[in-house]
Amino acid sequence: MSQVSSQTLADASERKGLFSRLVDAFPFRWWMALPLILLLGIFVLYPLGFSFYLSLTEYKLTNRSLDFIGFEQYRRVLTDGDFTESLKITLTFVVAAVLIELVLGLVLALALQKQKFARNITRALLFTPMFLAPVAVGLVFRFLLNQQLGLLPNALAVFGWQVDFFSPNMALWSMVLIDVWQWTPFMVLLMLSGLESMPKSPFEAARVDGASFFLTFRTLTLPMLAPVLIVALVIRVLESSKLFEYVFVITNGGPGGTTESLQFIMYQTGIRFFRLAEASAMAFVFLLVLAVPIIWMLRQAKET
Amino acid sequence: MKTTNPKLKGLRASLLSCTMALPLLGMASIAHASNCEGSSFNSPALPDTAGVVKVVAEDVTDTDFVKALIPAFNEIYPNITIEIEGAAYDVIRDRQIASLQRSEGTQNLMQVDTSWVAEYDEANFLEDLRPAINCLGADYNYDDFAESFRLIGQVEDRVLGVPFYSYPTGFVYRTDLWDTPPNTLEELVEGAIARHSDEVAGLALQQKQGFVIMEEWNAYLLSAGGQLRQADGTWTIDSPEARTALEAYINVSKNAAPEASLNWGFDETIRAASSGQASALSTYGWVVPIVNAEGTETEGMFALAPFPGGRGTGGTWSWSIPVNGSDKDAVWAWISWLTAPEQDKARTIPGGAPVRDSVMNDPEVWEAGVSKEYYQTYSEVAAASVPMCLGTGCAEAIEAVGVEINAAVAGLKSVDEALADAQKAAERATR
Repeated sequence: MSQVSSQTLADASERKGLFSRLVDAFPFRWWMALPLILLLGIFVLYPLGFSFYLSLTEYKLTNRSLDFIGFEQYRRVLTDGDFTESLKITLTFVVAAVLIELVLGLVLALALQKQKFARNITRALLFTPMFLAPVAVGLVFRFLLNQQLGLLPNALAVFGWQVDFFSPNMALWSMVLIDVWQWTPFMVLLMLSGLESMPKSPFEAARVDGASFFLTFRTLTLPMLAPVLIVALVIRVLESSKLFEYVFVITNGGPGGTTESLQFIMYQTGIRFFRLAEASAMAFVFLLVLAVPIIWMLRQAKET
Repeated sequence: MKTTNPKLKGLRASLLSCTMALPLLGMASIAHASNCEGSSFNSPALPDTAGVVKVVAEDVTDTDFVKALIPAFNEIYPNITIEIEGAAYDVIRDRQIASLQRSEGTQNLMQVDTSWVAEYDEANFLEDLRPAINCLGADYNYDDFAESFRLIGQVEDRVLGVPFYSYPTGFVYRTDLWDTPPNTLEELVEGAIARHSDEVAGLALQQKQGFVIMEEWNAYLLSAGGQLRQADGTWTIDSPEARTALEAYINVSKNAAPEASLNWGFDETIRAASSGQASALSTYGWVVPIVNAEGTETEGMFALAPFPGGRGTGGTWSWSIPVNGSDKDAVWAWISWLTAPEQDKARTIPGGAPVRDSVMNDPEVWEAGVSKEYYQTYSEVAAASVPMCLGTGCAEAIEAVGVEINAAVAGLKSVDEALADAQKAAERATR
């Protein structure tokens, strides 16, 4: 009996030893991060991994075939003219929208920082667009820019300007305009918080030394604001590359495919046309394309 | 949705009073507890059938007319709850696909559009309703549905959808501006251009990329003697007929359509017509009661004619039962009741799009509904209508061809380039 008890205790001790060794094998901080790692694994890594696996198959929503075909979907996607054209459209949109939002956001943030009268009301009004659902914004602009009913075309017509906001040459730029209207406030919000958290003494010293506004802006404001600017850029590049809602409710990709964003053709391919494997391959190619500038920007942020 | 249509209110009241006696009648006639041979659900449905019927329906007037009939249905089937959720056309299929991927779907009743039937059939998403229809007997009279609509819901001998409402394309024109409707594509183009002015467009077009422009341009193609896809599945888009049709459409777009309407969908064309800014539309026949409605600037001004050349695009929405749905007895009770001749008549009279021949030729419907001329023309339009595309890959092909047609209309491609690319795109969609 006592022999059995001793054996059991020894086993327990060995088991405890194994557990202790496991605990010791990883630093404490890793154990604290374990819940988050598990959540990320379940909600991010697993879907990503499954999606990548799907991209190596012929999976359709109507046949659910998981037959492995290697990188055939990637070959199809990369040789498909529609995909490369959509990539160009999306990148044009991202570069144009984010640059305009960045410049406009900075100008507005500098102005708001100096504002003394009705600060809170101005800020509340200015930030309103970003609290609206993009689908609702798309629907509003669909009618606002409508040549027959829209306020803007009719207002421009008073000055003799006939603008068709959804013509082949203008449709993508109308999308940029809508995005700028909705998301410039987000840039303002980030930059304003960056500006207001800057130390006052360097600016007071510059003022005492007689530095001009532009010299102060170039040598003090901009370098000190750089980390915020990069974060703002990363967030907006990621967000604006998801161009879908405006296209879906306003143009359906037209006219003549001039507003077919990548997200829109991924949705069409995967959901409307059932080819989930091909849509997954498109998503991974886009992920790679987007990863390059994002990693570069994050490195810049680290260096600054 | 609260409706203000007086005809609807009257219809609801009369149906409620008439159906007070129906439960007893129903119980007497369906006394036998029947699971008719071959049907996987009770047909005819038993009055004590219980369940919840859930469907996402298109936000159109016909859905309002259907909702108005629910109280009458519940007089006979008190234990069945009907939940109809309205949604825009664009999202209905997405919602259905999401539901169809689950082991038990969130929708147990589906409204299936013309070009989706074959795809859903290929994936075995839908129940075959043929055995249940056969069990309903002669009173139901399945063959009474207009043949062109009935065939849309059928694949081989199976019935995957029962016609709910129809949308064949006709020529909807203002009688004060057109003495007679055009008979040929040439007359249509010339007539629209001749009637075009700064105030009133000759023809309001729905030119938006994708299926929207296709529903309209396909009527031009049929009028020119062409067809998108042949019965053997081959695509015939890059053809002389298609060239004629596209040139005619571009001509109308440039010289008779409202300014900057390249992005217009159905809603915009209706708004233009009902505010007096368009002399005609090449659109669904059921639009006539809407643009003629009381209170509009064009009250009573519009009439329906067959699309020039005789043939227009045909289409129906059908009621279908997903294989992964629950409460199938209850769902079938609803479908079989709603699509029976009496209820179809009740849905049609306030302005619903008819699907049964008997309803379109019923003097009572002529009297209480829109007008005798309208229903007779609708019947003619329905009989001659041709579905845009049947078979697998149609939904994708229509979208892809619609991009090319829209590109040609926008001037981004020549007619020849657009048709050649459309042919390739359609073939690729069905490879």
